[in-house]
Amino acid sequence: MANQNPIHVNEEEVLTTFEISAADQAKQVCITIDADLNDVKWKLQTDTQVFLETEDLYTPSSPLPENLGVGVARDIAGKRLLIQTALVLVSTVGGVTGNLPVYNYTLTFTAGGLELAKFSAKSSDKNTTQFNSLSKFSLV
Amino acid sequence: MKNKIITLICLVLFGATLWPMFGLAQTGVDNQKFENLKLNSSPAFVLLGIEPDNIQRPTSPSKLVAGLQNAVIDGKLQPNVAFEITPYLLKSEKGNHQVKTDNQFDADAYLLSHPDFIQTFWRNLSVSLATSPTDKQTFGDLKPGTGLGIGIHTLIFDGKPNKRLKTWGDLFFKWSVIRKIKASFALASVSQVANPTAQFDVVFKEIDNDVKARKRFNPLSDQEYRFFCDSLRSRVAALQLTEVGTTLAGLKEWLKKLDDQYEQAQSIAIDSVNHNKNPLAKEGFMLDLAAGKALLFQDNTFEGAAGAKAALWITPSYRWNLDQQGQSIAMLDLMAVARLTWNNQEAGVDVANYFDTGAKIAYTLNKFTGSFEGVYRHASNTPAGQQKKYTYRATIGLNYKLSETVTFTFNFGTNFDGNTATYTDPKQMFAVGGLNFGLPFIQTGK
Repeated sequence: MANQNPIHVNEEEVLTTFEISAADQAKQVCITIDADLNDVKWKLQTDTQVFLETEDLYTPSSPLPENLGVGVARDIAGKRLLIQTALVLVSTVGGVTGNLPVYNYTLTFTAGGLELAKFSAKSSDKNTTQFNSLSKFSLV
Repeated sequence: MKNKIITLICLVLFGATLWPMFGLAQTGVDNQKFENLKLNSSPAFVLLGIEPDNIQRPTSPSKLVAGLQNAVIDGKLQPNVAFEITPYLLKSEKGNHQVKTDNQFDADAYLLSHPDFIQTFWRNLSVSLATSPTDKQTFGDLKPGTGLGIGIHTLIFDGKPNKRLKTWGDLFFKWSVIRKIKASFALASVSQVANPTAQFDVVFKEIDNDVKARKRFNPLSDQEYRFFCDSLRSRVAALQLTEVGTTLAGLKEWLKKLDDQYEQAQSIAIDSVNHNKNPLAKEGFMLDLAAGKALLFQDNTFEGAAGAKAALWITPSYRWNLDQQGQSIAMLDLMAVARLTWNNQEAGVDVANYFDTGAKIAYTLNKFTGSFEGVYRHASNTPAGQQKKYTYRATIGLNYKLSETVTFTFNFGTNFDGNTATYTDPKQMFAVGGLNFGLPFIQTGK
C-alpha cells in the first residue's frame, strides 16, 4: 500500500490516513526522523513534538527522535499522530552572507523493525523550517 | 626501574591518544575556530621549558591541534613539535543527549551558563604531548637528550555564551515550550481544556523533569524560567476563555499567534548569530586547570629515561568581547597563572621546587593577536653560594591566522633562568617562531 506523504513544510498539518496492514497489527510502530544536512559550516538545532492524541510521546523534544515507539499497531488504530519538527540552521563559522543550505527532512515509519513508509520534504531557504504532519492510523 | 615504568606509561598514553586519529580519517573537513589553533602554552611545552607563551587563555577544545616551532636551546635553533587532542570530541558528539548526529547543534556546550561541572571537566579535557632536544640549564645534571612532555588540561569554568547567542538560545527555548503547549492542545477535545492553566502546568512540570534529568537544555536561570512560566499562566488566564465551544478554538488561535511571534523572534535572533564573525565564542570568566610531567631520555636512549619534573597550575582569565555588533573579531583577554613545579632533586635537575605567578594581557583583532606577559618564579631553595631565589620572564607575543587551519606564532623576550644555579647570570633573550596546525578532520556522519 502507498501511504500519502503527510509532511507539510511551514504550513499547518493536514490529516492524512496512514494504513497499516492487518498482518502487522501485533507489531510495535516506531518513527525515526532525520535531516541530511551535510555542510560542516552548519549545524541544526532541533525541536520535535510528537503527540498521539493528547499523549506526549517525546517530552525532551530534542534531538531528532530515533526509533521512537508510537504503540502496537492494533492499539493505535483510529488514533491520530501529530509530529511537528522545527529545524534551525546555526552557523559554526559566522559571517554568513550567501544562500543558506537546503537539506532533506525524512520521516520513517517502521513496524517490528521493518520499514513501512518513508517520507521526505525539502527545507525552505530560511534559517528556520517547520515540518508538520498529522496521520490517522488505520488497519487494512 | 621506576623511571622505565613511568616511561612505558607515557608511551602507552601516547599510543592511546594517537589511535582515534586513524579512526577519524574519512571525508570532510572540520572547521577550526579562530581561538582553537593555539598550542603555544600546552602543558607539554611548559614542562619542557620551551613554551612560547607561559600563560595562555583557556580556549575551546579542538579535536586535534599540532604545533611546530623553533626555539633557541643551548644557543642553537632547535625544532620542537607538540600536539594536543580532546578525547571527548574524538568520540564524536553523538554521545550527547542533545545530538544524535554530527550535524545537530550541541546546545549544552554553547548555551548553558551554568553547565554540569563533571560534563564541563570531561568535555574540555585535553591531552598534550611534546618533544624537544633538552636544555642543559632546564634539566640540570641530567645528560642531554630528548625531552618528552606529557600534559593534561581542562576547564573548571568555561565562560558564558556571548549575548547574541544567549538571546537566541533563550528565545529558542521559550519557543520550544510554547510549541509543546500548542501541540498538547492540538488534538484535545473541548472537555479537556476546561482549565487551560492546569495543562500549562503539566507541560512546565514535564520540562522541569527533563531539564533535571539532563534530557533537555534550558539556558534560562531558575528565576527567568519561573518568570516566563508565570507570565504565560497569567496571559492565558487573562484570555477569559469561558464559553464552551469557543474556548478551544480561541485558545488554539492565541497559541498560534504566540507560536508565530516566538518563531519570528528566534529567527531574527539566529540570523544575527549567523552574521556574527565569531558566532559561538564564549566570554567572561574561565578557569583552566593543568598538570604535566616531563621525561628526559638521556643520550637519546630508552634506558636513559628519567622523570625530570612535574607541575600543577591554574589559569584564571576574563574575556571581553569588544565588538558587540559582530562585524569583526575583537577581544581583550586578561589572564593570570599560579603554578607549582616539582623538580627531581635526587637526579640533580635542581635543588629547589618553583612557584610561578604572573599575568598577561592579549588583544585580538580578526586574524591578529598581540600579547604581553610577565611571570615571576620563586625558588624554594638555593644552591650553596647563591643568594638569589627568583627569576622572571617577560615576553611579547604575536599570532597571525594564515588560514582556517594554520596560525603563525612569534614570541620575543627574556625567559626564566634555567635553574637556581644560574639566577645571578645575565638575563638571556629568546625568540620563538612557529606554526600551529589544526588538522583537517572528517565528519563521521550518522
